Parts: sequence; C-alpha cells; structure tokens
Amino acid sequence: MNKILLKFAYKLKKMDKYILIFLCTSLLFSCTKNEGCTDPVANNFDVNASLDDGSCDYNNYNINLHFTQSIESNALIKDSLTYLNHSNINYSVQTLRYIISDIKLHKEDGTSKLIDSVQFVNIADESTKKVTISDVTDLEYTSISFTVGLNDSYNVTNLFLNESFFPSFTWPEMLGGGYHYMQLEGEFQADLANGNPSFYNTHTGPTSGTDFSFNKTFPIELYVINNQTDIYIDMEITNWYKNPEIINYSSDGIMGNSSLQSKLKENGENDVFSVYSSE
Amino acid sequence: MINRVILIIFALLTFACEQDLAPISGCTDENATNFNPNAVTDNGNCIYFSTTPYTIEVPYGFPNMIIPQNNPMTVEGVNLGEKLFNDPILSADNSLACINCHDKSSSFSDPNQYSTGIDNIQGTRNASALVNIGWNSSFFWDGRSKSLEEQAFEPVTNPIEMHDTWQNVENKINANLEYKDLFLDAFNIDYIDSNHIVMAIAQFERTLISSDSKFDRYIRGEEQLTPSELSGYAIFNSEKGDCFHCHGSQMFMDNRFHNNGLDIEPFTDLGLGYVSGNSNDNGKFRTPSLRNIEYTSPYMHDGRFISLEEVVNHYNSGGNYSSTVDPLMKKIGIGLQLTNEEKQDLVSFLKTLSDENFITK
Repeated sequence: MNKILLKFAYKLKKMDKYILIFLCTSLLFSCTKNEGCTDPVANNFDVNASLDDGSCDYNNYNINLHFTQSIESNALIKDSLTYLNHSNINYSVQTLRYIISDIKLHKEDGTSKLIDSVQFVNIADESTKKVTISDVTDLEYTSISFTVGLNDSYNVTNLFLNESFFPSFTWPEMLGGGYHYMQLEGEFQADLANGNPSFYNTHTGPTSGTDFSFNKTFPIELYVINNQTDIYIDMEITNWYKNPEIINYSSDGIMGNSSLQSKLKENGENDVFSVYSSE
Repeated sequence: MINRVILIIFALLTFACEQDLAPISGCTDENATNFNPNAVTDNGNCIYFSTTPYTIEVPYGFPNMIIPQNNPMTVEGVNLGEKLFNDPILSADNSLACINCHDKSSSFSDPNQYSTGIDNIQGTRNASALVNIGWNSSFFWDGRSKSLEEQAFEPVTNPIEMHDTWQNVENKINANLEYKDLFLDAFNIDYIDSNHIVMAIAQFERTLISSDSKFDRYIRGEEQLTPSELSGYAIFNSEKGDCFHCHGSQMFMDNRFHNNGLDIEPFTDLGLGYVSGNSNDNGKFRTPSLRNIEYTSPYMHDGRFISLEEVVNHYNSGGNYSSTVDPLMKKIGIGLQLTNEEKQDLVSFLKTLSDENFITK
C-alpha cells in the first residue's frame, strides 16, 4: 500500500505544474456544485446539497411556558373564601406552591428536548409562573411531558440547597426526606356565619420515602406569532379533591398519611392538569 | 550609508530622552498604591494594595452564603468590622456600640425585652439575635432591609438608638488615625465614608456562624441525644408539632414571614404589612432561626415571652385567629394538644441547638 502511494507521489512530482493547478481547480469546482445547507429544518435547506457549508439559517423561537391555576375553569382568586367544594364547604386558597420537573417536548420521531428540569411555582410570585425558553430552532413538537413533584432520583435531601424553594420546601428526614411536591393551603368553613374558619394543609411529597410523584404527557400543537409560542400548564385545584377519590378538608396534617398521598396522586394523575397552547 | 544614518538617529534620540527624563524615576504602574504620574522610569518599588481573602466555611445542609459582589470577605474587613461593632464611636455621645444591644452571651441579641437608646428611649421590638445571618434574605423583624450593609445604616441614625448622623460619624472616624490605617488596609481608601463603614460591619456579621451545637454533633454522628431530646426532635419534625415548616432544615428558619397567631386584630404592630403597604401582610414577621434559642430570651418580635416553655405553650394553645394568620397554624383555636412531657421534650430538643463556643470564643 505504501509503495503504491510513494509511486503516486513520485508521478505527481514529475507532472507539469499546470496540470496540477488544473486538477485542483476542477476538484474545487466539482465540490461547490453540491455545497449548501443540508439541514431540512433550516430556512434555506437545499435539497441538492450533499455537503454542508455552514450556511444554514434557522429561525430562533421563544417558547413561553405558563403555569396557571384554576377553580372550575376560572382563574384562581387568592385568599377568597367564596369557593365551594364537592360537599358545599366554603374554602379559599392562600398558599399554592408546587414543583413541576423534567419538562420535555417530544417529536414524532421519538426525539425530545428538555426545556426545564425543575420549576418551582408560587402563586404569590409572578416571576415563577412563566418561563421563557429562547433560541429554539424548530417547533416540530407534537407532545409535552412533565413530572408533578420530584421523582426519587431528584428528591434527595440537600440536593437543592441553592434553589428558591429551599429551605421552605424541605420534607423532614424522618418523614421520608427530600422536598415537598406541593403546598396547597387555605381556609375552610361549613357555615360562614358561625365562628372562625379552619385551615387545611394539602402537602404532598415522598411520605415514608415512597415516590408519589407522577408523569403526565399531553399532545400539543404549537402556534407561532412573531417567533413566540405559548404553552400553558394548568392546574385545576378542585380536582385534587374528587375524581375519582373524594377527599374532605381537614385541619390534620397529611404528610405522614400514605393512603391520602396515594389518593391525591390518583386524582392528580386523572384530571388535575391540562395543557393548551394559544392560537 | 543608510545603516549609519539610522544608528546616528537612534543614538541622538536615546540621548535626548535621557537628558529630559532621567531624573524622574518612581513607580510607573497606575494600579500601585504609590503610583507616581510624573515618573517615567520604573524604580521597581511599586507597592500594591492587597487583602487576605476570608473564607466562609458553609456548614452542612446550608446553601451558599449571600455575599454582595462589591463587598468580598477579607480578613482586614472582618477585623475592622468587629472593631466598629464594638466601638461606641458610632453613637452621638460615644456611649453605645452595636454590641451593647447585640450581646455576645445572648447570641448577639438583647436579653432585655426592648433595647434602650442613648437618649434613654426604648423601642417596641426585641433586638434580633445575630446568628447565621449571612444566609438571611432580609433583615429586621419586618424585613425592611434587604442586605446586611443596608441594615447597618439604620441604628446609627435612629433617634431611639444611636441617634447620630452619618456625617458626624464620618468626621469622628476620619479623625482617628488608627481607623485611617485600618480602612486603607481593608478598602484602600483615604477618606472613610459611611458605605465602607457598613461594608466592614456586614463582613464581620457574616462571620457569626454557628454550626457546632449538640444537634450538629448528633447529625455528624459524634454525640448522642437523650431520649427526651430525641422525642422532642421527632415532635418538631412531625405534623403534630409542625415546627419544621417555618423552622426547617439545618438553618432552622425559612427566610419567610408569617403571622403565628399571637394577637387578634387590630394589630398594634403591623410588621411586614407596614413595610409592604399590603394589608394581607399585617401581623406578619420574619421567622427567626432557632439556633442558640436558649440564649436569646425574650422571644417573639416584641419579646413577650421570657421562657421557651411559654413559647411552646403559645403554640400548644393554638394561638389567636386573625385574617392574616398563617394556614400553617392549622390547629388554631384547638392547639397542638401536646402532653406536659412532650412539651418538655420539645424544649429539651430546642436546647440542643445551643452552641457554647459561639457565645464564648
């Protein structure tokens, strides 16, 4: 093999300079014929190009991810003791803080893109209710998936020391360790004319170390206006307490109550979350 | 021929330069503290401003400390801050220092319900303990300051505290040769302004770290807790006692504000509501850390409780309902219903958070 190469090099040396120059030019010329943008996603995709010349031009999109909360399909009004639950008990929502993690967009071909690994949503802080993912090059996504809470691999004591939900979301070691998934708190009262309201604390998390987080996947169709697209992940608060399991308000804590955590997970998986995009 | 001409020109140029500038030699580096703008030849004697970095050791289970970028921790700054903290020069009549109301043996808090200023006037709140405050995201019981630097501005001019003016403090400190040297070493400044005074104090306050209590040693596996302390620890971290939602993690605080059911409306002290102007915040106060709680009596923003037993009794009785009471006070009006033994266990556990070295060394 080496011998052949050496022979070839020797022949080249002997060749006339002009022949060499001619050869090189023709090579270059033949290449340019097939150079161009070879990425079908790019604006200037060239079907004839076989060699990418780095000229691909992409659109940069922003995905605005919104976290919304509703009661009976209307936007939640905080601190308002005017809502009625499944058994006609008046209730309000004063605190609602929760974690949505591992938010991914998926394409039909099975590829996916992680757009937010851990999102802490606090209804008292507007800045936590919207995330913008910028420089997204294409929007050929057909579904979205996420985890409500933190799954076992994430839910480890001291893993999120520098996140805004530390230390208030800490789930004590002796109750399983890690972090809350959700703190949903407010007042409830059967008869508003009689005495003071009581408080409920619907706190979900890894009771006794069991993973009660769950995954949801929704189909999506993305609409683009001015290179922006909006995705809304909505929590229907009422549905945590019904469909299929009926859960009544109580002033007892539920962080050590595996049976209630399991029911809340079942309701949560059923119809608490929905996803829509704006047209 | 050409080469010769060039040589002559160079020789002439060199000679001309030497004639004009040779006498002025000194430090030519603008970054040096002894930079001489007239010097052209460097004499190799430049002196540079340098400080020794002060390393904060972040205790187990704590996040990174909040340190402003423009006030990095230095040994010189911390030492200067400690001197200022202990110096009554900050008060109008040179009689009252920070340390007088933030007593070290009380974990840098005031054992008196209210602190007394230089004009013998008392405030309406108990002076906060200064422990692990480098991790606090706001200061004062009502959270009105967002940094330690900002906080330190206030007591100096507060009429019921040090009642001085910053101009007067600057005059006094600039007239003090020792402070002139110390501020030069710490910050490389000739005129000492109020900004640098509070920066030094804040640096010192960030070093007030407690992480060597009996509880810490228990977590590190170095020491055992008694059965009573362990029982208290379990109550603390169960929803029966439910102390952890506000006093959770190794920090024993949540950097948030709550109304813990002390009073009924109308509130005499609006707390956070006074600062935010939002009536939904009325009666809410910053959660204090429970570290060194044994040393920081009296308790609550107004120092109304003398003993930890009284504090536990407050929560055990359930507290008072008001429109802003925190939903976490879910046993409002009912109480935790702890037995006397359980209450005693809880107090025993709270005392494991005492760090003797912190208040003595």
